[in-house]
Amino acid sequence: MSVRIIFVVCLLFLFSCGEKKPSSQVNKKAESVKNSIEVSGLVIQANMVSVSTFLNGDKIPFARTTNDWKKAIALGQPAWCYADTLNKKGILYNYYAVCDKRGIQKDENKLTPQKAAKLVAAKEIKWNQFFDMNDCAEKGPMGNVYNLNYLNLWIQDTLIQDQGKLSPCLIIDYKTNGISIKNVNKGNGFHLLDLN
Amino acid sequence: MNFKLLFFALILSATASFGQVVHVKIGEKSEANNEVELVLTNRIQSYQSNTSNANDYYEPLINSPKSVNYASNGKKFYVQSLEGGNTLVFDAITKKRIKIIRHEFTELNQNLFKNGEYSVFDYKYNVTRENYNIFIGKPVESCFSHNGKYLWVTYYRRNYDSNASCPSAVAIIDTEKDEIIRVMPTGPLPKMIACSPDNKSIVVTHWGDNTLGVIDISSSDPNEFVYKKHCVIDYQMKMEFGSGHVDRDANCGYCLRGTVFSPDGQFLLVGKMGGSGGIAVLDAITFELLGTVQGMKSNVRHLVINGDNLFMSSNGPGFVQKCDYRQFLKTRIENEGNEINFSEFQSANVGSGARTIATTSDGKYLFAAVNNGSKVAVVRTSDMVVLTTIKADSYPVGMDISPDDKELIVTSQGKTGGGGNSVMIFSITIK
Repeated sequence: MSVRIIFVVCLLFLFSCGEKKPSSQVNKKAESVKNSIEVSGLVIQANMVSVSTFLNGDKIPFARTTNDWKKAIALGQPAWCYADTLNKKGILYNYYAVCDKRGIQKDENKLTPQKAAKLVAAKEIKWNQFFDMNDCAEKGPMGNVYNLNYLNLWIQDTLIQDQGKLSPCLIIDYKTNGISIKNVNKGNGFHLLDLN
Repeated sequence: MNFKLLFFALILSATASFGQVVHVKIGEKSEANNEVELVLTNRIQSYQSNTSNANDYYEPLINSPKSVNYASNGKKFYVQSLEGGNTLVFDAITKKRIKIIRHEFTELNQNLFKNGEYSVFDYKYNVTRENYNIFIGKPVESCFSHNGKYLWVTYYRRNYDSNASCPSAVAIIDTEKDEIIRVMPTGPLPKMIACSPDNKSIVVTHWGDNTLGVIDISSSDPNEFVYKKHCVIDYQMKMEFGSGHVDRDANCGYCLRGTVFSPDGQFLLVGKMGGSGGIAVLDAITFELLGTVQGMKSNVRHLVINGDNLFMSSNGPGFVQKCDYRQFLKTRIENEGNEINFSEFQSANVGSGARTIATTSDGKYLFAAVNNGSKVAVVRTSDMVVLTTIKADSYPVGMDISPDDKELIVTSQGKTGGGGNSVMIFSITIK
């Protein structure tokens, strides 16, 4: 009998604890940064691509230092680095990695010029409620990582590879939600968007 | 007769070179407009002892006032009296002088120099003195650190260094007591000085040789402040001037001046008034030079960042310009090469001699000291339109706005031939 009473009291205690737990706190991360969003028929994953190998399994060279990064650019070779070196979070690729024939993403997951144009055309999207501000880190050709509150995403198109030093990039202003396409130096380290 | 003619010609030529000396009356108002009105309410000056207005104060210690800074709490303001060798402290309400901070160092106050330090970064003196730390400093610019606890005042030069080619110094003033608590050496001819947003670094910009000195101020004890980096902007200018007098306002390489940290503390921007011009950008963590951005008007003098806008004055051309500072920096970091171009500026022509600029706290209005035109211009920043101007005493150069945006203080530097030597206080009314 006493065992039953203790069991019931324990159950009540457990339920009462559960009731006090604010659901908003439990799901705060999930609410503020969603897993995916659909824009103009495109499903965009909130998490950026973070692989260190090409699709065939070859390793993408890791640029540990700023000199490694600069050397890769000078030679026009693929390289990746961490957006947050300290916590080893987020991966930035130079465009030589992105346009490498071995590929980092399957074609259907790439941000192509056509898909980028669709995203630019989509109005009043609150991008900053979907992406994390930490995704705005970028690495310049000189090898330093900064965060100016712009989300920079490489645009991939086999037709425009290897033409000069510039390549198109989709830029989302995290402060204003402004979105535009711009040609930038291939030696920059930007994110890759995962969509389909 | 010939002598009389010559004398007359000399007078005429002097008048032409220096222009007409302007002394504005108390009560002077800005030209009418619907948005902002400035009125000259008070003046502190050293050119007329017998004044007819009670708000026109005679203060003989005003001797070529170069810059002014309101204390963070707005209760007092500091005027750097360059040729007088004093920092004068005034009550912001009464406008009365409450303290004289004398920048004179004798045998009696050598304790202000930690371990007797008189140089840094291996800078050499080209004069021989028994004690290099016995001098009068010429205070030129200043900035606060530690949330207003310390005021850092740079010396244009030590008084015995006539060509400003020797190490100078920076005084650290405790703003509670308004007393100098330490003097640190600097490179030659330091002018602008800036504190990082995290209060970890002070940057002293050496107008004299294309370099910056970076001081680690992360300690709460000023005695622990220590130099951590000497940054060279492209090349260090050699100061081989010989024995004759040199105009260091003109012989200064890039003549580095305007110095500002980005609000996020990631970048340091330094204006190049001379040479090929532009704005140098440095990584504010490593203080590595990332390169120069060109594309703005030449002769960039003063830099201010407010909100997302970078504002700059271009002295000779007489313009103030604005751009999105994030776009400006993004362009810099995403491109290779020492010099890159940026073109997205909006401009306002305020008149030749655009010196110091200041913005209201919301960034909606910008004020510019226009030296050649003896005036202050008011610019609406949303569309960079000059709204109005107000006459000022000759040679307006420095300025600051009170934290409540109610008053604008403008200093007028003294010059040979008369003019200047005043500190004007304008009321600001935003309609």
